[in-house]
Amino acid sequence: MVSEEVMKAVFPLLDGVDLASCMVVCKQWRDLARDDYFWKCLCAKRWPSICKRRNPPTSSYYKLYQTFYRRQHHKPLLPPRISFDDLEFFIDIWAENRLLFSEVVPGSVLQQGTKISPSGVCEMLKCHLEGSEFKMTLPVEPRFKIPLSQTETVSISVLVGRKDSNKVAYVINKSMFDYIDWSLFRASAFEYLDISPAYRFLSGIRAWISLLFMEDGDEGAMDVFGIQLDFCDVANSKEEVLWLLDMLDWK
Amino acid sequence: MASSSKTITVVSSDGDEFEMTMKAAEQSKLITHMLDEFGVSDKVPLYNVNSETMAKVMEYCKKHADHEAAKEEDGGAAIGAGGEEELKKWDDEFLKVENGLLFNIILAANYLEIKSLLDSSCQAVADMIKGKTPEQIREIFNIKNDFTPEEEAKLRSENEWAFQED
Repeated sequence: MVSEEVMKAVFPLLDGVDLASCMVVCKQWRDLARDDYFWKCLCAKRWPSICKRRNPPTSSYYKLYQTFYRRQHHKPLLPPRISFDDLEFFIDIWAENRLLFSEVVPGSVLQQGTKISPSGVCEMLKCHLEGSEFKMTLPVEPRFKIPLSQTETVSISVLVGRKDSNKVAYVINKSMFDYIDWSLFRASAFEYLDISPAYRFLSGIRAWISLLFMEDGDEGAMDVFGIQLDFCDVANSKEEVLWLLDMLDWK
Repeated sequence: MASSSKTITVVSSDGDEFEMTMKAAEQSKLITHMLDEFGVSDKVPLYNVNSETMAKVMEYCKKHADHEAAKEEDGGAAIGAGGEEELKKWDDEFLKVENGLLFNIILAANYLEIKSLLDSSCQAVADMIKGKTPEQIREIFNIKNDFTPEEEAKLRSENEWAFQED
């Protein structure tokens, strides 16, 4: 047994991590190390202003130190409040005044993604679709074609409805497919999301929607076989996407 | 005030007598106060310090007294720039003793009010603890783990913040 007096003289010289290790050594050390006085000293060294108040701002200086001594970068995400089963997406695609595609897509379908691409899809796109990262894609059946001359007139709107509160929110009000990536055979459109006023100051988060196509050389057209939705600005996992959707301005 | 050849006698808890110069004795605030109170003629009893520890403490006091004297002499020339560092090295070697004795030195330094010895010896123990896991600490200090597995698991999870790697 080490004398209590000795430990009381040594503990003030330790930093928080070492003092916490001492707590686990044996009962005597645990009881000594728990004395909030030592933690007050550590807090005083680290944040001298904290000790200008008589009492600790949290329940104890021990609690204060262990919570704030180091910034936690791995913040586990809380489970989202909605699931894809609660959602359905209303997708409409126009070329000028002609309706190319108009479907209600259940969230569960979009969440699954499509790993199987029809033959004729370029390798890069195929690899991208087969990859294990979370993606929201849906197959377009039957496929539709967009003549290359008309690609500049194609627009899309996406609304999302939620069954738990019977509300709807914009994902994309109306946007043109301005970005065509000819190496990946993707035509993309984006729009800035409308976030609920409960979360002020959040702006600049975009919804991206892409048409996945194969090139039809004969007809000079885009042969669209799939649609992909993503929020790559901020949300890249299933949980992150669900949280983001939960934060939309549902009306 | 007293000449450096003047000595006093201290008596350990085991009854052994030790002679120390005034300068060495002045390293201890307690002894200094006792001498002021009771004068130098009597032997100073130190009930809390056993002979083994007393011998070590005497060695420390003598070394530090000599060091101070040398500083005062040539205005510091005798010590030179490396003097303080050399003393620190001496202190480090001096404290390389078995744990039981080291703890007794801490207790004695505390009781005798020898601040520099208290600081160094406590720091030596702190250095033994720094960066170690609880298991390693138990081994170094030969401490028995008296927690039940449940108690230990609970404590570890409470202190997970300290054990996490970044």
